Amino acid sequence: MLRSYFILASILCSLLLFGCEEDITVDLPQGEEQLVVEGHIEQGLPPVVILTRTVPVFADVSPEVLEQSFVHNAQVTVIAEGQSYTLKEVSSVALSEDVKQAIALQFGLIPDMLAGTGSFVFYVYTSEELKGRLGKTYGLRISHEGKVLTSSTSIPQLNPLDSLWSVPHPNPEEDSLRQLYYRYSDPDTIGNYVRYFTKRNNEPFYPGLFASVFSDEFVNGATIDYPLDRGEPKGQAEINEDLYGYFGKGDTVTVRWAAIDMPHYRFWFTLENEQNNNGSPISSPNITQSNIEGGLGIWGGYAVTYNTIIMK
Amino acid sequence: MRSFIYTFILLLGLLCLQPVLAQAVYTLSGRVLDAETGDALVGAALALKERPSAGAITDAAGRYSFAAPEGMYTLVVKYIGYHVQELPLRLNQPTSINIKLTPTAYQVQEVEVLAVRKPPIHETPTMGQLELPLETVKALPVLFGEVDILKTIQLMPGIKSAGEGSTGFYVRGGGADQNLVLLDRATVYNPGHLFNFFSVFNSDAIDNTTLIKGNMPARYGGRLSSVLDIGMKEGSYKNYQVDGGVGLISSRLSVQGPLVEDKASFILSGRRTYVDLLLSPFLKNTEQGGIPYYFYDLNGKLSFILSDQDRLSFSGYYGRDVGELTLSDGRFKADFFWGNSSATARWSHTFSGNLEMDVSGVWSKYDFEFSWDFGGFNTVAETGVEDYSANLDFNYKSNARHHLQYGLQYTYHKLRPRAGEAESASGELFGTDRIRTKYGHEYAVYLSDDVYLTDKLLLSLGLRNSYFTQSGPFTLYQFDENNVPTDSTSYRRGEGVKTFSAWEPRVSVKYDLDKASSVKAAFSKSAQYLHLVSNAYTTLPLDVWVPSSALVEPQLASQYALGYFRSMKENQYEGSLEVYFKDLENQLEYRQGFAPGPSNRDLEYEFVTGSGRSYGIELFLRKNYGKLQGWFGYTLSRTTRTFPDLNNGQKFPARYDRRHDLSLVASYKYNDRWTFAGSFVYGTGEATTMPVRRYILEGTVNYQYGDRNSFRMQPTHRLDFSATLEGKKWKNIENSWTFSIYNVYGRRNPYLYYIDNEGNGYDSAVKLQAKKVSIVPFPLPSVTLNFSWK
Repeated sequence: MLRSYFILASILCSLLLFGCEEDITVDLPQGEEQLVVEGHIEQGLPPVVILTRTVPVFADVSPEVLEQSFVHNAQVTVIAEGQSYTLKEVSSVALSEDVKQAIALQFGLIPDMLAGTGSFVFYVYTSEELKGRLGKTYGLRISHEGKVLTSSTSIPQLNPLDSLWSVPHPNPEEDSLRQLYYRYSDPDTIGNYVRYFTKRNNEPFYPGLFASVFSDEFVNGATIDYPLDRGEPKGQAEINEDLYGYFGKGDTVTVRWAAIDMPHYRFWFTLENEQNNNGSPISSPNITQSNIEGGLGIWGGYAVTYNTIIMK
Repeated sequence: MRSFIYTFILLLGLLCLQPVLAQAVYTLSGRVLDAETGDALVGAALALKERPSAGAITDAAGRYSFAAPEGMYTLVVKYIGYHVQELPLRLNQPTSINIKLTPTAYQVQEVEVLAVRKPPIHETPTMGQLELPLETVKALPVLFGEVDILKTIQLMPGIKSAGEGSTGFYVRGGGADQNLVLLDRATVYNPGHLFNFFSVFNSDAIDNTTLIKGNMPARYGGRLSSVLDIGMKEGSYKNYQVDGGVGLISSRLSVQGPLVEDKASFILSGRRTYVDLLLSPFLKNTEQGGIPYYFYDLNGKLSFILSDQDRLSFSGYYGRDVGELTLSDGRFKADFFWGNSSATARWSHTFSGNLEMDVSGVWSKYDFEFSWDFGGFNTVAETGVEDYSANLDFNYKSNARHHLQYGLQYTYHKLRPRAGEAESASGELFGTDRIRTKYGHEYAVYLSDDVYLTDKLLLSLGLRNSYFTQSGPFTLYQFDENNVPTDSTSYRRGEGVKTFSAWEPRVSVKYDLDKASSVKAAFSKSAQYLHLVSNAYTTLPLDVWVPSSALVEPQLASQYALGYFRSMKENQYEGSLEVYFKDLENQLEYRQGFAPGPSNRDLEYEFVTGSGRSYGIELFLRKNYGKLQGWFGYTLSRTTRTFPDLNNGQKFPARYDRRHDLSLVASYKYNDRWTFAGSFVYGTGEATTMPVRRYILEGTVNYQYGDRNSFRMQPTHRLDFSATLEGKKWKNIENSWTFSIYNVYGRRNPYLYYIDNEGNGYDSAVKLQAKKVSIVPFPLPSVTLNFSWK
């Protein structure tokens, strides 16, 4: 909740300054290629890892470059309860519908992209032998062409919402808009973290746009009522400020409320902070904190619960 | 303690050399005053006709003191715009004479553009000291026509601007928190208004300004890189006077005059902006529809001449930035303010035998508060510093060869870290209960002696011993890797938590090569017990000052400097060439991956420690008098930082590392009515961290970064211009108009670079574009009317 204070400071800054932006050409060094992990494991579902490599900032934006960024033939192993599971590389086309749905959800993808009908083919590393369980820890080890990446994550215990309800827009003229509120009772012990996603009617799930993660540092053990902004796809050219955060009257809304561990929380918190403040004079760049040793990205467990409400 | 005693003995020993070296030498002292107003004349020159090497320049209170062998002399007193006075004099005992000078014309030209009344550059004992007469400051073109002392000092060599339009500055590779900014001895913790676009120093309320770059005399301490010592103006003891100005951004008014003629005076100055009204038309299309934001300053001073020996003054400052914000149809409402306030009481007494004593009590405070309502929660976040100080300073010119300064200083610090509290609609409280106010006691004793070993060799020996104690209440927490507290140690109120002390020697040597030139060398060590770390491109009002404590060690610096100083054509021209080398220890930065945000643990846990180094050459040339005046400054320097936990432990350039920094300032008095002035600055591009590679995660474009501060933005340069028209006098009101253009040729100086991206990363329509942000990318004209009624 204190975060809005910083977002505001940047709004204030940009309003007060006469600043102007212009496009420029910069000559950036190529940098050294790093491997990027985007991997998740969730209760009842197999682990899935997307392994890519970084490309120069101004490398072409094309399906070819995207396809080439996938790293093939890496050794990917998940260690759970003392046992190693080797993850096999598969084209997403070959996955079962259930797994496709789960991946689309976990990775914020449109299911069509996994069906192979898009302009490039998605490759993932997964294993049918392993399913995530609550309260367990999962090690990850990847080796590829001399590079070794390691990480560890956990699927915490479930930490569900108490309830959801709908509140009218503060401006009575905006009768068609509704704000979603939630009630959450935090467990007694400190160190609970959550990531949320929302789904409106038939749309995919989207994480909170500016801040998708919460920590109980200030609300440990308390019960709180607070607004929950509608998740939106990232990378939009412009956010519609009038509609931001709101749902429509009559919308069917599902909230995916996932308990996560601290390094997982820290990754999204810093990544979102970096994205929100890109180009702001009151922040510094390069703050994303990965939980991958030897590489970039995230290996994160989710303990997921769902709640659905029709916005009255 | 032992080395302190040794130093003391050494200094005493030097004092004892006096009978050997001296014949019968007596001191001549007193004040130089305006015969009409009784105002002290600062920078008046006194000399003995028969012995030109003996003489002095009056200080800020119009006082002078120098010594000469017994004899019959003619004392010559000169001051620009006043009749020269010659007095016959028999010096056979310590003598005190007050001299009153009469102006040459009935009406003295008020603004003597760039008339620098100061001792010649080769004569001052302190290295890297710059005096800035306010006349100089007032004549130069500035942003929005707001005269600003902090922007003028940035035009001096060795001093770098913190960015376009900013009042922030960096001195010889030191951080923004390493400058001691004093207003009538009160520390000003945040000298900026409106995100540092304007300084808190109202030009109508302040007097002369002294800036010392590094080799500070022993009486100054607590900061590593510089001292900016600003005095508040005294009211006139003779006449009532009203001065004011109307500008684009703000208006000013100040009133001064005698309370009791020749005995007591007052001055009161105020300034308020109307940026809220000004910006509203530009913001019609935004949700806010305008900015309910403004700032103001109030300065006041009461001065009393109790006797020839005693002067007493009370001065104060109060300034605030205030605003509010409403977003999302009132769903979000915020109020904020920040500002400094200070009060100083000061008594100076002159004992017989040239001993002066100065006693002062100072209170100073900076606070910031931001409160907002959202989602049924009322939240307040605040930070601040509060100081209570007492100082006792002595100034003793025992004879022609010694000038002793010694004293005691004490400050009690209360530092409120960034703390917040939120209250829910049902009355439940959530807050940063582990972030508590910290308390510190800072003490210092100092002793310095400027001793003429021979007629040509001046040795300045200074020693400062400083202590800092963090005292309770305080709780020291241990955290695990998930930031969960595992253990804690508590300290009671007043209980000592941690004590630091430092010896700070300040030594310099001046050798006169001839009458107009000298070489100087200096070495100094200094310690800093309060710290501010900024995460942004500029310091912000919400940045937090933290004390040295169980969590943070004091910052330390050693500086070596060597220079050649020369005056030419009777001080019409002067120049200097200085070389410096500075080592910094215990420098602070935020750790890699620190994202500002809500946290219930002290910010100090987010710091990492490293070292810094800066070295460079500074060239300075100035023309002091005549129709055309001005200066040229150039600095060639390099500033680096090395942190084991940043940039893989590799050395990296400081963000304000600037290889070349150049400024050219000139003013030309065309006739009695028109004066033109211009300034040009050039600086190597700022060091910044840029992305080098990209990757996609959850459909968004993210970046892999290059080495810290390894990328250079474009160089900055800018030309500003101003013209001042002295209006015709109407009744008793004088007026002048200042027209200025900031950024004459519309240079788009980079403030920051970033890579913008739009679109889903899995979509070929994603767009990546490098962007440059500029602050004032166009010529910005302004006009200011100044008036004065006597």
